[in-house]
Amino acid sequence: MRVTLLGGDVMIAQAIGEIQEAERKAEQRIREAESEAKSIVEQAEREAEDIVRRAVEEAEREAEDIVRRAVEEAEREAEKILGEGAQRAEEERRKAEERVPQAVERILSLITGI
Amino acid sequence: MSVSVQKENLSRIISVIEEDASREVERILGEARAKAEELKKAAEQEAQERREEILKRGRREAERERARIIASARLKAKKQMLDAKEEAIQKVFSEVRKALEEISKDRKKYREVLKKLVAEAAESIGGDAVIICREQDRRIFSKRFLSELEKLTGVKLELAEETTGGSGGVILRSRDGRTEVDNTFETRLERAMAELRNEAAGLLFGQVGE
Repeated sequence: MRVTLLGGDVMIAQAIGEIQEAERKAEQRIREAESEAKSIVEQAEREAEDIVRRAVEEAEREAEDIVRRAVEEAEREAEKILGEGAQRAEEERRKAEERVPQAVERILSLITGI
Repeated sequence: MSVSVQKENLSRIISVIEEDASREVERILGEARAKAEELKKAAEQEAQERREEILKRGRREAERERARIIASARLKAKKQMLDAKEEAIQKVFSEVRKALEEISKDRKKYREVLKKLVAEAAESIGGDAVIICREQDRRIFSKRFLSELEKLTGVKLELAEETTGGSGGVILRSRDGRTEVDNTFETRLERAMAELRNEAAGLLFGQVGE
């Protein structure tokens, strides 16, 4: 069928075309915005994961450091305790050595009755 | 309607479409940015919580390790002291054993010891008894010595054929064989070990029972 547009019809068709074009562009902008929004959220998710991961890694390093320092300090203290203990044991050994004859005599007397 | 009015109307419609689209774009991006900000805040919050938990765990572990190391050192120090004491006590017992052997070689002194040991055992038995001694001690228990012992104890004593080993001392057995008192040096030493250990500790370290 052949359509013959009159002057007014042409103008209307043009107007509809322009409106449709504007709508198409608007939809395109919205689609792009949605895509950008998705990208913003995905980027934020990655950054959020990074924030947590970095914090955990750093905290684990700090925790290891706390344990290491505590162990080093405790080992120094332990060495001191052992040193003092050895010294006390040596003093005790020396004192005991001096008292051995007296103890032998006393125990001998308990066993032999004389 | 004139053409210019129509164009103006068209232009207004297009503007409305564009403005609507702009608002929608702003809304979409605004929501995304807000969500991103929310995610960041949540992540920071989670990071802070996990950090605190990890550090808390680290501090707990540090305290446990510290306590374990110190306790182990204290235990070792205590063991050093106990070893020193045990060494001294063992030395006392070793000297006592040597001295007992020496006594058994000193006939005069040994006789005195045997006298005491027989008297003590006879008192426990409370009746006539036989004396069991080392083979080499049999000659000490002469008739004269036995008679001396009988006078001392008030019971009849006889030397058994049976002998004992060890470093000295005697065993007394009632005639009916029902009661026996082992007064050999080894048995006396062993029997009195715990008591003597306290005695030795007391004499060596000025305290009892450690």
